[in-house]
Amino acid sequence: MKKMISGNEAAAWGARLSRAEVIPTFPITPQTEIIEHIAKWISNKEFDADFICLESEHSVQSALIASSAAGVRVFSATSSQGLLLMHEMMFIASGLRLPIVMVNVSRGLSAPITLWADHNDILAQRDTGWMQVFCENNQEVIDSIIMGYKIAENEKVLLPMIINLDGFTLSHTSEPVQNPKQEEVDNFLPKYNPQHTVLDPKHPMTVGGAVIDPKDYMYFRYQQRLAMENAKEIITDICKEWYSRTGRFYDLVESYNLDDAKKAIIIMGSESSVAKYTVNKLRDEGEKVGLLRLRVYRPFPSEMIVDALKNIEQIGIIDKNVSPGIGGIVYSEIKNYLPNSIVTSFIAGLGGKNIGVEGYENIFNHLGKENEEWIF
Amino acid sequence: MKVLDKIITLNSDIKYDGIKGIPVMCEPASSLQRNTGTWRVFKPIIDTEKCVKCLRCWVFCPEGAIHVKDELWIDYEHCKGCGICVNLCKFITESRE
Repeated sequence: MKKMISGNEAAAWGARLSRAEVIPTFPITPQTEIIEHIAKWISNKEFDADFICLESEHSVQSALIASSAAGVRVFSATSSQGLLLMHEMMFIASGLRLPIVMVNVSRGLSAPITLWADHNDILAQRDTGWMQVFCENNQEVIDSIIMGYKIAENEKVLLPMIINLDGFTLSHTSEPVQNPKQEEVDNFLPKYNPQHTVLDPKHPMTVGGAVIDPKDYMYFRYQQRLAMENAKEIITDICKEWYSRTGRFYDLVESYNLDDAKKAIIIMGSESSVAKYTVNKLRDEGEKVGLLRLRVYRPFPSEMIVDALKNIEQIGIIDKNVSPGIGGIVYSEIKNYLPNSIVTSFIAGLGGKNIGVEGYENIFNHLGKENEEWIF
Repeated sequence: MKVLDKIITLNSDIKYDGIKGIPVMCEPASSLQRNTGTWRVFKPIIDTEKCVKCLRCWVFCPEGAIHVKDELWIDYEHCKGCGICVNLCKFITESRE
């Protein structure tokens, strides 16, 4: 049976069904509802976990690292400025190869201050070595968290993961969600069995401490790079397993009406649902349009993007972010993979600005120019 | 661990090492097992002919890298080259490694 729940409640359910054992927290809009749900469940004894209130997000990330290194499954959630405060520690989490799963409810960055959805906060963490998943709807949030632990804890990966949901668009909007049963999740996701770091007084270990020779440092960074490459295959495998159990299919990218399309847009996050509606509308009017949704941004699924878009003549890349000095971040990464198409950059939806069906129609009409367009 | 003194590309002969490729030391050890002398930039040298064996360097060495056996000598496997002994004693000089 489906229940009407918000994106924040779906994220909290993801942690509860995955049986996270330590949950360090610090509140920030629009994420606070996630930890409120978890706090309520823990006080009602419906959910068995240690709930730690900390004094900043930097400490939250430190507690995630320490708890994960001690050998337990951990969860937390943050947003915007809070994620930026975690930045320093995030490199340590990925460098130590700790399978942390964390939710970011994306929100624009100050100044000027805003509370609405914008991807600049999570894309500022692009190079931290965390896997990044962008969700389209609340069902995907809950599924991505459960799959996330299985991917992150896979011994060929062992990297942390951020699950991103757009602030308010998903976090505070209720949608019908099929909540997996606890037995189903337990069968799919067994208890975390750490092989590399664990707190055991009989077998003491030093985690990430030593002053290291430059050669060794390069070796470890290279291994991290290879782990990210491995993650592509593991994500596909685990998504297939999830599909066979629940009937809900995910992958690194999602192609929508691309088979015979002449025009296509690339998009991430919840905006894709309005974009898909526009694609259907334009198809009814006879235009050959399609859409590619980037679901996983790190590891970057370049082969799948090239494969999906190789026959498309005109492509638009929609960035809900901007890097002053170069333009759209996703555009500047993808452009070079598509030398045979005319690729146009669109900066749209910053700070929660509604794009809407009209905005997407406008975007499809402007394809075919190699310029940067801003959709106000 | 392999020595990587060469240019490598993805898919080259350095394979994914799984748990070995994670910077965790499962066997912490004291300086008896770990050679820390490779950090040194400046190497202190005792002029044994002029040394009067006052042992001030032996007292102040933070690493315990100065040994007394007939004469004073420095354990270069553990001396980090901090230079404290060089500052203390005019008979200890420094040379670049």
